[in-house]
Amino acid sequence: MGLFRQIYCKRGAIMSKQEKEMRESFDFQVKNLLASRDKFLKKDDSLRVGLESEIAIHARSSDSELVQKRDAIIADNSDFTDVELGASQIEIRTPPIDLLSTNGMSSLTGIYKQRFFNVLDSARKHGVGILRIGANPFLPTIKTPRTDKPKYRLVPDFYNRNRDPYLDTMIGLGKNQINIGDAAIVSLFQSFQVNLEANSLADACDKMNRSLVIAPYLLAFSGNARYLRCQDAKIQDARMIGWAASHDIRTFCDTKLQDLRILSWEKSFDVRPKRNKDWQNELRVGLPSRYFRDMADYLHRAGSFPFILYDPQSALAISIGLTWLDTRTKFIDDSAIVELRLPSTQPTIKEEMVLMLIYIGRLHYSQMTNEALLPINIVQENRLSAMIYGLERPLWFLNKNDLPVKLPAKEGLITELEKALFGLNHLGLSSCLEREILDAMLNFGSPSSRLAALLNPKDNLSISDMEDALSELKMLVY
Amino acid sequence: MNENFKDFLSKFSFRPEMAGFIGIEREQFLIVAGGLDGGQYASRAQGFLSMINSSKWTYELSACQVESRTNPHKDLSAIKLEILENENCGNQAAFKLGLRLDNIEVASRNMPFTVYPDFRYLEIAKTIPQDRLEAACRVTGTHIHIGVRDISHAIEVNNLLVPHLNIFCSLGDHSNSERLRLYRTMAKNFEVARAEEFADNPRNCWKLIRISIHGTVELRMFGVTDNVDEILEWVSFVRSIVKGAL
Repeated sequence: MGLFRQIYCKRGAIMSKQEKEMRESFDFQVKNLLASRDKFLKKDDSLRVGLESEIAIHARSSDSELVQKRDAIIADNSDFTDVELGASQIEIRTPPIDLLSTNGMSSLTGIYKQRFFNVLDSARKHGVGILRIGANPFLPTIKTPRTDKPKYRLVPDFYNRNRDPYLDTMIGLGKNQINIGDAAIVSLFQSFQVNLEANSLADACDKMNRSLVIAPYLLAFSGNARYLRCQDAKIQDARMIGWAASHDIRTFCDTKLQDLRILSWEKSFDVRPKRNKDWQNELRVGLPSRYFRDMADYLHRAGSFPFILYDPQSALAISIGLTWLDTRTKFIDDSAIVELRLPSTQPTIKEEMVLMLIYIGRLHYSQMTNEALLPINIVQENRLSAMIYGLERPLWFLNKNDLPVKLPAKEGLITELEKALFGLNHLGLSSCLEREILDAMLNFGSPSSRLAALLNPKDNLSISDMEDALSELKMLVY
Repeated sequence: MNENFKDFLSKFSFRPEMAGFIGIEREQFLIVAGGLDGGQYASRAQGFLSMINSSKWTYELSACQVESRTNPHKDLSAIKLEILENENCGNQAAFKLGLRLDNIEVASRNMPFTVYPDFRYLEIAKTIPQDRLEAACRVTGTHIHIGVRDISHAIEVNNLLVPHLNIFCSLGDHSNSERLRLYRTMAKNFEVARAEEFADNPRNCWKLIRISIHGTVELRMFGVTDNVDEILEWVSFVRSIVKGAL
């Protein structure tokens, strides 16, 4: 049977020999990481931040032409770009910059802008536009073109193969729902990611938990993934909803089993612990079902999913790479880096820098005041509400007594922004925040709302309608 | 069309624009959260409903139970959000009263059998034997409503679902079938409801799959769960069966 021999793991699920090897390597690497926790200690007062932004190219070309052009653009800018799952996607990254150093903020902004404009110049040279949007509205949601790399074949295929055939994968609040039942749909999604260096593993865990609470507030006014296949899903930011639904392989009761005798037999031997206690029946995407107790707990959760890819030397890195939570911690050399992943790519860099500063300020406030965390069930509601309705529905906030209170989203957000400004002030960064950009973001609605306002009178959207509207709103740049 | 039948149909509010939409009703027990009585069932539905003051919440026959409902939606995420909204608001209201909401499929025999002070329920309680009253008070469930256009559509959807009754019962069971056993005790004519029992009031039809007065086909066999995603799994499965008719 060789490498593919099936064995049984302690939870009763079937595990391949390769998965077993990966798990053993993962456990070993986690043990080493936790044993060398001191190397992650940072004693200086720096605030090192790096950015990653995903964009996509667009032209009325064939899939293969788009891939060629995408690869050519990356070749032009190979020092700071990379491919992503989507065959037309490009990731731009900056180095980490200490925002508290002299000119730290302007340095980060300058590098980020420069790199984006370098990519834009290349795109112009190759006759394509750049999409700055959370969901590419031009490509199909089923059989979305992927980058030709083994991991981009194996991982989505795994989820497509193991998804419950009865799972409802139609999404949208509009007249016509859209099928997102292909894990390759992630090829359509672009996000803006803020990477913060933590000063210890404990700090990383604390930052992660607090970021999970903060992220929905950011999303509520920055949704930018509403249209799929040129259709209005009427969801402010469908990115993570699509990702989660297309990657949901959980079954609470196996609906594939039609024989009741087998069902009853299995149930009578079902000794799985209740979910939560040991990260059972979790979804890899989005929000964990509870906060992380410590870094070991986070890593334990990360290792509770199938590895899918086989490379024992990189077991830990693979597992973190496949941790598609709203916030995750990754490890690079002696740095523990907390990555915020929930916001979609924004139409402009200025808007992204505002989001980044609000996030940093709000997180700093939360840590310096040791703020209570909202119950995770409430965060789950906030997150989903922000994704679907943006600021249109009430959200939960903490009142002065640290108790959850539900308020009109705009009203509650005022206090959140005050807290963020307090944090920025404390860091000496408040002057970096462009208030007029923030006010515009709040007053004119999220990018999704702005796009919908332009497109809504039209019933059947053509590619030209979409191109024109995106260009007008700077979401498509030529 | 015969006048009696017309009169019977007039009791159903079919809304063609809601065909295929899903609504969820979720019954939960009120439990004392702490102190000397911690863990006891609390006959405090009236207080809870005054505290929450929301049209999405209502009472049940047992004063220890409350029920939340969602608006109808097609999108699973929108359904999930409404269930979460109810759950979180319900938990906050219960917390203020020193209570908590619990998903218990079958309550213990020593729970109080206080009936909610509603005329219809008080009348029912007067007329049924104690074992049926106790059975009715001890069970909670999750009801899935599927919007249908009209009576013909309702029958079509109903007929697609009925052959799958056993698998639905099994999927939604967390009490080793005890809930459904009690349900049988409560609704004597559980397998085939006799027409004369609900002709005047369709709410008196206690079949596990029934056409409801709200213009929906309602599935009542699913038990209760802490996990909202499990409810969505039931919805997905049910919808996959009636997909062709929606």
